[in-house]
Amino acid sequence: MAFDIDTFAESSTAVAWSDIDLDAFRENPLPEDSLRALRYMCDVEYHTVCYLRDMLVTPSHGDGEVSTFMTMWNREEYWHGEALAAVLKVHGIEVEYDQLKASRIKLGWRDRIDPIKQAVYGNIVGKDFVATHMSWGSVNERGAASAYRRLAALEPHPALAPLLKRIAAQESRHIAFYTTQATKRLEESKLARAFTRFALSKVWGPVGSTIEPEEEVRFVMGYLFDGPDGLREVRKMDEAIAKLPGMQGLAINEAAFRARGLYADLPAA
Amino acid sequence: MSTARFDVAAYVRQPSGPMRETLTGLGAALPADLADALRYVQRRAQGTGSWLARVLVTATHKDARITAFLSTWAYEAHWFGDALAALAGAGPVPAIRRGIAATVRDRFGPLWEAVVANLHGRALTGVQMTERLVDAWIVDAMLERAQHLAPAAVAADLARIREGIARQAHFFAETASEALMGSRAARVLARRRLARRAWPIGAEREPVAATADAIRTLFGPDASWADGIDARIDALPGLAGLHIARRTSRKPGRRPVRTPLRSVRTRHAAPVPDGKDEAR
Repeated sequence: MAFDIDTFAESSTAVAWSDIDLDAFRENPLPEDSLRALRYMCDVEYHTVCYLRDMLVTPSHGDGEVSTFMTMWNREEYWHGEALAAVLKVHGIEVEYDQLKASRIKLGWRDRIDPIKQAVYGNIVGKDFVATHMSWGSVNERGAASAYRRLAALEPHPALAPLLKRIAAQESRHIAFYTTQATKRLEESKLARAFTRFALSKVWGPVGSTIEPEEEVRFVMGYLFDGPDGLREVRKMDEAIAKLPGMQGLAINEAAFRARGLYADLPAA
Repeated sequence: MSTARFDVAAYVRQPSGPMRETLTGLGAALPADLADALRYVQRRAQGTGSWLARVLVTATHKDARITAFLSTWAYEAHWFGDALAALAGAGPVPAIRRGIAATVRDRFGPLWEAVVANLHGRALTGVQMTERLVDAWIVDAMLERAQHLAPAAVAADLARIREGIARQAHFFAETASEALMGSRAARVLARRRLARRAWPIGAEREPVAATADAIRTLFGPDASWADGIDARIDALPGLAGLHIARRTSRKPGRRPVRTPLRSVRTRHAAPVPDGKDEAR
């Protein structure tokens, strides 16, 4: 089904949590591991503006629909960060602008070089790079939605699960946009298919892996996706990616997670 | 202007969103040239991506307070543009013939900016905030004139958009002033960059005639609007004597051939507190 960008934009809203009783966390706080995963997710959501930056230096921003989507998407993701920060705050973990600034500064040269790399790729590949951007977004949004659903299942706290489900619902709308765009653009261009396949199989890493320490990536991926149930979820994500034109046979999530030591006792597909 | 620090948290909580359903002037007949001028402003409002691309590749993107503001600012700008599009109705979009130089600038501009940003550091943040402040003043002047030329119902809608732009300008004014006051590098760079570009921001992506038509339709031969804006720019630390609005009024849509790096007024301007230069 076609994605209606006007309907999406008009209904784009900050995720709501004022009706959720956050004080429930005072009586029944989340365990440390869940808070650690939430902190990771919160950082990633706040960091969306940096992903936006990497995309704006490519030809993607010249496309009206993509540009409108990115404006709404960026704001929705910012509010996911705010919602998660509100939960963390009840647990005594403050996420302030100054801390976010410090963590962005800590990224150093890698952070400075990323937009340059993106711009170079974008200019070499040209318009077809938009297909890569859309496919990349589809993979990442699917990963984020899946992570929220997994955490809601692992931690069915009456105040946390509803919030995570609301966030995951917004992520699902993002998946719909990215996947619709990616499918159309990949179908139209052999170069787009080839470059996207190369980028996903050789460069892509799990959401947050470019901004969080590897130790945190391993912890969060293990916490959310380890074991047979986690692997089943990961394979569902990979099956969806493999349905994109030219991406048949890719299993990038499972490969990335196995590379981080997960599923050592489970057979490969 | 209030001296209270701009509350970004409050701003992002209550942005101006879709306006179509509450527009009073929807369907009101507008003179063709005024509708064209409103569509011109609409394209500026909904064309924030190019500017953001150049800003977010610089050290500005590390400042979470600024990026939180800009995320909401872009959202608001989109909906201001949508409201202007609804009021102006459908109309021709000027064909933009991009020459080779402009195409190269479009494609490699952000790349080049990412490279030079590493040399200028945080001084660029002051420049970018000042750019947006001046742009807000120019766009506000355009909408103010449009209010006078439009039927009352449309004028009321434009007044609401201007209120939103004024709120945004408060943030830009505060951030720009702090940066310019605190950094000589920011003042020098702002002076050079503001003088070099075409106004309003995005005019370089339009045919010169489109900017000229919009300015002529809204302001006619009267250039007093430009004097008012230039006076406000003169009052910013280190930016006296640029005459940006006057130049825009005389040669709309064109970048200057020669850049006024210094001016008599700058040399005689009140000294700017030097302070510690924290631009890098």
